[in-house]
Amino acid sequence: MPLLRDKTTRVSIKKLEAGSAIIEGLEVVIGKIIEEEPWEPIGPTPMPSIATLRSWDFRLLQRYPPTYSPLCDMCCMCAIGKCDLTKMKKGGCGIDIRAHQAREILLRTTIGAAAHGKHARHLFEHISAKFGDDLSIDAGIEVEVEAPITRLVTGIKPKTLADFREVLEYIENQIASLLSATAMGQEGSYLDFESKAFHAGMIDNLALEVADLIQMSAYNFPRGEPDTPLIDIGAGTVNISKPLILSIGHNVSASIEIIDYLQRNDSMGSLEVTGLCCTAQDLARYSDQAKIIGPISRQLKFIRSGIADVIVTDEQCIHTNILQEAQEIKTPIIATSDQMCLGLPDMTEEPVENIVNALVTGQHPGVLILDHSKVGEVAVQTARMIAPIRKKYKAVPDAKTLIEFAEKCTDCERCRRNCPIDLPIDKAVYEARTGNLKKLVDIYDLCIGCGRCESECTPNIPIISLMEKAAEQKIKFEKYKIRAGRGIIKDTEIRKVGRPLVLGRIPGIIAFAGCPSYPRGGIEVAEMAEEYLKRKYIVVTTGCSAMSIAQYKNEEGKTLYEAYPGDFDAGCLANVGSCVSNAHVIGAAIKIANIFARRPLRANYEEIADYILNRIGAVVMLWGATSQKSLSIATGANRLGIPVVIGPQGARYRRMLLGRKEKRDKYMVYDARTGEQVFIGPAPEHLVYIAESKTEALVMGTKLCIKPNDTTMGRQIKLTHYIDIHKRYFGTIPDDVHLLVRSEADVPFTMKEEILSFLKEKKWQPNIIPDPTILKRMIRSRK
Amino acid sequence: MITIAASPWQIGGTPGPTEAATLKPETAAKLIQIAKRPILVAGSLTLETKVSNGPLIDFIIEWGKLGIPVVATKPTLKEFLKRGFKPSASMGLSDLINRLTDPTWSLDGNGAHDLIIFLGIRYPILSQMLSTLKHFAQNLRTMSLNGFFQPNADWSFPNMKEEEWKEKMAFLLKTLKEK
Ligand code: SF4
Ligand code: SF4
Ligand code: SF4
Repeated sequence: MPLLRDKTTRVSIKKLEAGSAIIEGLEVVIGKIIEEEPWEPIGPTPMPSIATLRSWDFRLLQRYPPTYSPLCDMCCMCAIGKCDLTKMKKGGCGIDIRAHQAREILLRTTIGAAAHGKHARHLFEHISAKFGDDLSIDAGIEVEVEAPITRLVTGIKPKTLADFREVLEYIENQIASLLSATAMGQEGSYLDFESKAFHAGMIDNLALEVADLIQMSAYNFPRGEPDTPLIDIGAGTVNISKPLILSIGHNVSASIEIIDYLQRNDSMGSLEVTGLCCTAQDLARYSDQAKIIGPISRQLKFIRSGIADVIVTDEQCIHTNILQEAQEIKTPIIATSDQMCLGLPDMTEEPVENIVNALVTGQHPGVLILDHSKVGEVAVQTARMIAPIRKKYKAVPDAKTLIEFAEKCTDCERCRRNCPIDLPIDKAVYEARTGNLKKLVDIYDLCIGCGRCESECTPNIPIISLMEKAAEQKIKFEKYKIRAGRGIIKDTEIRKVGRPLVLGRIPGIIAFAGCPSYPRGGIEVAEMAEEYLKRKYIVVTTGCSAMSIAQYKNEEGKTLYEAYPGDFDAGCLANVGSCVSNAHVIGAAIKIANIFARRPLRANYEEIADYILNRIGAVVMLWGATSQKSLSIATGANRLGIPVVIGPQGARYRRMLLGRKEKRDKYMVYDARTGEQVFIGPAPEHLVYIAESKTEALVMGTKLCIKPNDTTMGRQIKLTHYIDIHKRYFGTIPDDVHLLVRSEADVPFTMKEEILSFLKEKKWQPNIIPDPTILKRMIRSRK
Repeated sequence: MITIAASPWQIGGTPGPTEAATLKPETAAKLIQIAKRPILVAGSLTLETKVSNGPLIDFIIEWGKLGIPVVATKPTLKEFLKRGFKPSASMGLSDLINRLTDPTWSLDGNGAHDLIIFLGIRYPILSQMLSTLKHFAQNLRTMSLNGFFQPNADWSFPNMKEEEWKEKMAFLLKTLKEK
């Protein structure tokens, strides 16, 4: 059945001169027309509302019920409160701590979805103005399914930029519904809050895809190319004798104007164009001349180094005290997003010359420029003019000043007590008095750069600057390579890995995503990635995690990007791109169901999610989970049946979705061939797990890739990894192997004797391998 | 719960009106001795944390030999086994905490536990796990013996300097051995 859908068509005319008449800025909306879309019959859930997929969510939540860890026992959301909700006491509106925690999860996932939704909207408006609504959505060659999430969720197959208008309106509408549900006296059930949080995650993922496809198409980013250029990353890669522009945030459109301006003027090499966080990742997708300083944890430290002559901010993950920080080193700020105006004067309409003058003379510490086309020229001119003036600020305090600062330390411990990851920074500062800076250098790599230690220090010791100074020599050698984000996973790659993945011969996809609040530094992410690469998992990464992986060299002195190819294949490491590129990671799982298994995609959410849950071994690792956006990305993956392992800091997200493997009835599926209910073992055991340490995360990653559909050969391979890694790090055979072996043919050949004797001890019984589904309607014939 | 005699180790960690009672080693010993179904949970810091006569893990083994069931969190298990000590169980911390919220669950299936003692677990994650138990496992009591005040426990050692903590731990073990 072809889809008939209402569509609003807009015609906009920027400027039309006809004889003596001039028409400017005209937009005409031509009612609603009926459009035929013959590409695929529409599925059951186009543009689902917040309750449409509720029954699917409840199925997941039944197996993986939430376990909450309140960060605060109180609720202060309305004027009846504060209400004490400790130990299931009820608040003035009747809510208890369980439902309130679920509400907090919904709020945070909705914040994440809103940030990504707004990001996509900003890109859309900017690119629509610059390139026009007819811009083709071009995901590259060998890509038929260009927008798997958009097709799955909305039923729309986007061909031009204009097609995303309706998608964005849907996203914005859903965000309003979701936020509304958090109001006092709305939703009351923790399970319904969680279902809505899943919805927020799904909407978030949709927004990611819109944002990345738009920018890939408009800016000609790599589209699924595995061998993208190797980009310089690390503070040691910049030439500090050149003027330096530092871009921070996530929306690259303003910073791209800087590169365009330099290229137009043939002066790309005269300045250093650098970035932090996802804007940096996306700049590197645009130009291999851009340099990445590092993940967001390097933000305050790099600013304190005084090296940046101009700072350009856009949106998300920017230190909100950045203006004051920049003023300390006399670096002007150019704010370019209405999401972060920093109290700065809006000089959008002023001529470039006036803006540059205001910044160079210090008339304003920064300006707001909402017209991105001006940002390039202003940033470049300002950097050139101000660089000679601010030369003396391009340095952290000298060693003598450092020791003088440290001498003020009273060893009061308050800095450590305010450190979110409990780093012994107090001892490091106290010891610096004696000139011993070793502890400060050690902490430099572990520190997430939040600045909380400083704000608690009574003698006002600039602890981060001390760390920066202590690590000065080390920073000079921070020279690494990262492969520029490759974007989408090609259909041809999906076809190649589909069968081995679904049958289990490739043991799984491990996706390192999210922020850098690591418990023990970024090196752990790289070490985990390396372990999975050696074991021939498909390793993909995005955002700050991708940058952390780059800041590590193996025994041969190579970064993992230099040591492993960038394909979407076994034993390869693909930097997919910035946070919005996570859409392609999630999209890859959807595409396997659609392209390899030929499951209908269009508006067919439940069936695709059911397929992924039961057949595709994919795990998201959020090792340094921090932001609301990470949570919403992960929650979107969860709704599709993809488990997420979170680092210990993520316990502050307040909830896990945990199964209990001893509860057999929770791990039952239908065999689609017969309708019989079959026990599948803990496959996968959990949907959201907080790991205490790197080793626990590593082992859990291998286990969560085990899926009920694995063939015996696939299960053998997956069990080999799970048992081997468990033995290596925990010293024993896992205590649940008997739950994961379905027949003797599943037992890894090299471990046969040992495992068979273990099975005997556990009184193991064989089981059938079903054609697994948790959707009754997928049963083909009933017994 | 009673008292707010100490402030949380992490500034800003005040969860609400109900906070742990601060614990002296002699009270800790008494509470442990009167507990009918206690367990001691040993986390991933047990190796790198030092007590007076070596790493914390050796201290826990000595204590375990007095008869208290020890649960090694997964990353800790191998080190216990290397030392020839088989813990009563080994589980992921999250898995354990989840099961403890079920009043029908126990390690050996012989009835719910009444006291859970925590040692060697990183402060931020322990704080959250204790919060889970505080709200959703009201049948049991929790005790944190790290030298950092954990307000989400029922009982916690206050914030202490390292040397003071080592002394208190040594005293606690001595007392438990004597009884
Ligand atoms: S929303 Fe409910 S629990 Fe929260 S402060 Fe208001 S009445 Fe109290
Ligand atoms: S800046 Fe670093 S040391 Fe200071 S509180 Fe934050 S993480 Fe801890
Ligand atoms: S807060 Fe300041 S004075 Fe106190 S220990 Fe830390 S650095 Fe020293």
